[in-house]
Amino acid sequence: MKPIARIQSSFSAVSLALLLAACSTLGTESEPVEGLPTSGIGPFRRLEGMETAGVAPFVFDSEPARYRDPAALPEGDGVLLYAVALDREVERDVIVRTRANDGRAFYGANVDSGHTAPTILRADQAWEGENLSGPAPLRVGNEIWLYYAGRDGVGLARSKDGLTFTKEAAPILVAGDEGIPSAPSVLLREDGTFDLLYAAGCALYEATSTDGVHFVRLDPDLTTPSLDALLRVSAPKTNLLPGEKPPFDTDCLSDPHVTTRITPAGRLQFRVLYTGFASDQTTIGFAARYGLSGALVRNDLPAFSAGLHERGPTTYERGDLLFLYVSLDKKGSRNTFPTIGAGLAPATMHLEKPAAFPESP
Amino acid sequence: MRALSFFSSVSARASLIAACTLSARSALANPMDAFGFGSRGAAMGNAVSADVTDPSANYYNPAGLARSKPLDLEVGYLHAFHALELNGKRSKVDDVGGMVIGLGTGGKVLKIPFGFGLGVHLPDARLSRVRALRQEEPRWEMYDNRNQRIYLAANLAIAPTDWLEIGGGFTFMSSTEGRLDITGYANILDVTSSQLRHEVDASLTAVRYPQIGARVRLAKGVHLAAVYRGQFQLDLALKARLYGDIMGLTTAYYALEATSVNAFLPRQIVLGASWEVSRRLKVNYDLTWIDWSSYVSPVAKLDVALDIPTPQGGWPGGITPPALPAPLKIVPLRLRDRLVPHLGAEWIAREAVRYDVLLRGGYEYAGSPIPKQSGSTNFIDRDRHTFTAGAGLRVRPRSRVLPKELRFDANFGFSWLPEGTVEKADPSDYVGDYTARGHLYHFGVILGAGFE
Repeated sequence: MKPIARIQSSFSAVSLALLLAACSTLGTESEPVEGLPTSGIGPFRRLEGMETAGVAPFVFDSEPARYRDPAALPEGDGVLLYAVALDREVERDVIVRTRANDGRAFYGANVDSGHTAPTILRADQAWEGENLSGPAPLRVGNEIWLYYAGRDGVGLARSKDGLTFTKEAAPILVAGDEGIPSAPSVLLREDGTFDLLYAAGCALYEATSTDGVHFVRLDPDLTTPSLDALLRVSAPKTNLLPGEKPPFDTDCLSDPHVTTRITPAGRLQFRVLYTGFASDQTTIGFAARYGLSGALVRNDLPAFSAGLHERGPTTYERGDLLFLYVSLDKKGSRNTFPTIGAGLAPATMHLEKPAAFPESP
Repeated sequence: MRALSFFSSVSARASLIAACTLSARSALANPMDAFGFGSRGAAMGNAVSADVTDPSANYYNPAGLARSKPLDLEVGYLHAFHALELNGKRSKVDDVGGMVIGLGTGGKVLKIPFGFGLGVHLPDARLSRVRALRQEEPRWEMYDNRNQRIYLAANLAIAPTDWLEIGGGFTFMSSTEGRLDITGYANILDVTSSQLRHEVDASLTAVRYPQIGARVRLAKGVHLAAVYRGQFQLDLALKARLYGDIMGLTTAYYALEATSVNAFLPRQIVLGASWEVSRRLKVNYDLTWIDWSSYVSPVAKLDVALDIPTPQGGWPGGITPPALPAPLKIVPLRLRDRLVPHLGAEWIAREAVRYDVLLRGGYEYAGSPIPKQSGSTNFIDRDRHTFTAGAGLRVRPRSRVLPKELRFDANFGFSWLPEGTVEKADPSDYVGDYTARGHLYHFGVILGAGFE
């Protein structure tokens, strides 16, 4: 065979190999990068479309009951939600309980016809005044302890079944130099110590207790003589750049919700979601610290902002998902009314349709 | 909608290669730096700059092409799997795979040995990928986007004396420019009655960078080499324009221009040595200096214009006009230069009249150039230890139809990225502390044919 013919036949063989290789490989679409690290506390997006049983992002709404101030407590595969509601018969704010097996379809919601979330606590002590607010449930041994706010401070009620509660006779934290404590959030550490965060005078404070009943205020800065706040309002910012948003918490802070975790680096991260007030807007912010004591450091970016007067955050961890429940304003037949809506983190995740409503609260 | 069909069509691949050869600007990152070119070099820890005369010289050292066979063709396949983890969870970084094609042709001009070569890596999943992320979003900076590229190198080489070879050429990569226009009528209250026209125009344009190399024979069986590879960056420019009428109330104009460096390849200098310890054993060493300190942050710079005049009588209830996005303060990314050592060996395990069997092994260590990410950015990387191995079969057919030499080479590589922990200075950082580690696996096969 001549050299030219040899080259031709070899080129044919190589071309055939190229063709086979080309046929064996096809283009693929890029997958979004998943499994990214996160502090596990947002930022959240609000639930959308078919992700809720009713109108998203609302998950527990009723115009007459005006549900608000949610506080979540995991139970089994689902979540219990304690919330403030308006008792129409007496026109007083009480605390009710509901449940969702999937974190979204809550017993007694507007679209769960025929069911009503039962009242589990109402004001009947002199120090409580007429209305209760700020429920904060905590599992302690075989009991559920429910911290809540009344007129003169923070109280505690205990229950075996989470529905029937027995109150402490006196409030467990009353007014101090910082003002009247409200909006409690309580954490039970591994060493059995209770950490109580509360709002007073538009700032956030901390108290600690060994028995969950007798609390001592904690001062994050012992170099000053007075009690210091864990977190105060942001200073207003002038000379904003075009498009730059001003701080969202320059007027007031409230509604702390505390959680902790051990980071992958082995550090204790003390995480607090809170409501920030600025002008007539409210936004959910995030602040944190490493370790058991000290002031909090805020993130300048909100954890959740829906433009619906969001406030009073609480969270429920479900696998890799973190649900955020907040009070939101919803347009009613005449006026807007408070209700409870949900957000989700990681914000890139999407949910299937919600499960059926539970049969009991 | 020109872009999607353009990217997906087979004819576009040919067009792109043609376009690459016709126009040029500065240049980008490529899978060759991570996984090598061809099977022989990849099996020897990429330590072949002083020991390469086959078509893979197009990447390792173009000077080697001066000793190319009259016609040397290689066709093969490379695939690399990323098993990268953050906090113990797989990060799902896309694999890299594609055809490897090499050509070398040698001869003599004015009695001076002369060679020409082409090297191509043709990805099987995508020609080029664009991914613009916020600077806070964690990403495996060295693996996620950089290796999803087409690669084409063309080189010339001569051997002016019997102890010296010099060569050089260009490597061509693809840059991306895109434009999105939306015009029409928007009804905010009834989205279905909106009438909007979309126009997408995207194009891949060529960028290039030079490479030159030299190889010196010091003594019998001892060669030294020096290679320079130029720096290049792959620019990404995206423009979006929205203009239209909003419910007859007002007009809206929104223009966004995002410019970023989608990938950046720093210049490199390689010094290499090859020693033929015995007739059957060869040991190679390369040391690569990488100018990572010139690295350009991939974070996009945004230029936004927004003009929505307030309608007469104000906005209807419940409608809030959009506001300008908050300005972005790009945190500079300062990388450190790195020296990457490569070690390789080749042993002729069996010699026969018509065939040889070769075994190869290698190691390379690439220290991460990325500093600790304790601030708001999350460019993730780890040091990389790579262990490689491979085998080759050289056949000298007696047939008059087949080429003078046929080569079958296969290689396998395993990279270990030891675990490291990132601790955030700010406790309220939304990403928080994390650990990063991983493994990479890559393999390749090559069929080569040398003609005398």
